[in-house]
Amino acid sequence: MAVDVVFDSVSIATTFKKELAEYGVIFCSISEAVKEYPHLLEKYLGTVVPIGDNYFTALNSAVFSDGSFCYIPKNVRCPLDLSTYFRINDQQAGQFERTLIIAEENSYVSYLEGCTAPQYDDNQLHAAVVELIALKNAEIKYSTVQNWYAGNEEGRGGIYNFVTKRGLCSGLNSKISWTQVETGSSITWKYPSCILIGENSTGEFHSVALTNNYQQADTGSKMIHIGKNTKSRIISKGISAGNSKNSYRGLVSINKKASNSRNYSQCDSLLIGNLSNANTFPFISVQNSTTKVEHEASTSKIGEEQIFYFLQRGISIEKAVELIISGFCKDVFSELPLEFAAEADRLLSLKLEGSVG
Amino acid sequence: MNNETPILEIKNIDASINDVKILNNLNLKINKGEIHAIMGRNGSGKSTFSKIVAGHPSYEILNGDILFNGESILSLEPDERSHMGIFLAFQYQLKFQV
Repeated sequence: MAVDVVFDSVSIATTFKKELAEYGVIFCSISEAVKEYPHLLEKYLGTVVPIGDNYFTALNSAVFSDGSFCYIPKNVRCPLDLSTYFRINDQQAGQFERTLIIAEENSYVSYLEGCTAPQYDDNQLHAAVVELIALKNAEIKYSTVQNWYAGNEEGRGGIYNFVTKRGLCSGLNSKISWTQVETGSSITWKYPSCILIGENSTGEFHSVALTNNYQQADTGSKMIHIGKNTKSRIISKGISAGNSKNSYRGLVSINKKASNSRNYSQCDSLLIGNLSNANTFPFISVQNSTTKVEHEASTSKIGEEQIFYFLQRGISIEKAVELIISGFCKDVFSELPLEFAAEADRLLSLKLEGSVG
Repeated sequence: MNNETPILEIKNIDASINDVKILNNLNLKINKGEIHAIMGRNGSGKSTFSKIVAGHPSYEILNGDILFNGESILSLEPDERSHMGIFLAFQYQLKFQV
């Protein structure tokens, strides 16, 4: 795995650059890409997420200092998973990084992103912009494990995580897949989206969002079908514990020309305790009668009876909750690279320690 | 007369759920080697009896004690009881070949 490390919006190191360069793969900081590959940045930066898209993209576009840049040339399957580790260290600073990934024709890349931050009583702002561009027959798999500081048990401190992530499937048969495990941040507003322009292109979104104490997560996906025969799939799992609020907010939009397009959405919520809150706000707009759109949703609760069944078979309460959560999230974890899946499983258990019982 | 300590002894148990009393002064001794079948009409308290022995948290023991090998188990969690050998086996479907 090749890693780019970004502390407080500054890229401090990138590994395996030489080895990747042998394949023509460019993996470097945005600041370096501005100097070395200005033609690529001029061509693609800001094309998927325009400067004035929303308040936070405008802020990001005005002040961003660094981030990660990946370019996968034509006919190359990236030999390593690319990864960026983000950390906010400074108490008074926000983080405004930018990520741009371009997959040329017939290429493939898997990109992983991890985030952490130390504990402070104040809130810090994270307003990132991520743009993905997949050309003809290209595939980008983007995975995130987000564990920014979530604030203390009374909801004091934590990161405000307002991120704009959008992918453009511009070519025929292109594919963009977002997988996210959201466990941190005091407030999250994040809707990784796919614009499906290329015919037969595919967009996927797999998400687990866990909130505890006084966290608020408002997350989901937007799938914009523009080309013919485009397909999208949304699998969202929300887990709410403590006094937290967890919302799925999504859009499936099928344009007039998107004949024979398909979408399948599944939104499941799991409540732990009596004070947590789960909401689902799906929005579906269909302008073409040849399309098929499916939406399924469920809300359930970890019940005393379920826990008792585990306990009286000799399984401890912590293990019981871990197993129930693992089962609930398995459709999403199976999409993560193996080492990330194990980490995510453990992370959820740690985040829920002491929430049940 | 068997003088050995019973494996399981239910002593004067009163139990309730949601403030409704289900078991009233129940007594039972199970000695080593014995197999018991509890039978009764619907609502007579068979499941309640099984669940209080296993330690279901919804039931409240108002009176009495449950001894396992002479030791009270009322303060033990269901998982601790199961490690001692007390657990429920639920109904499973069986297929008969015809």
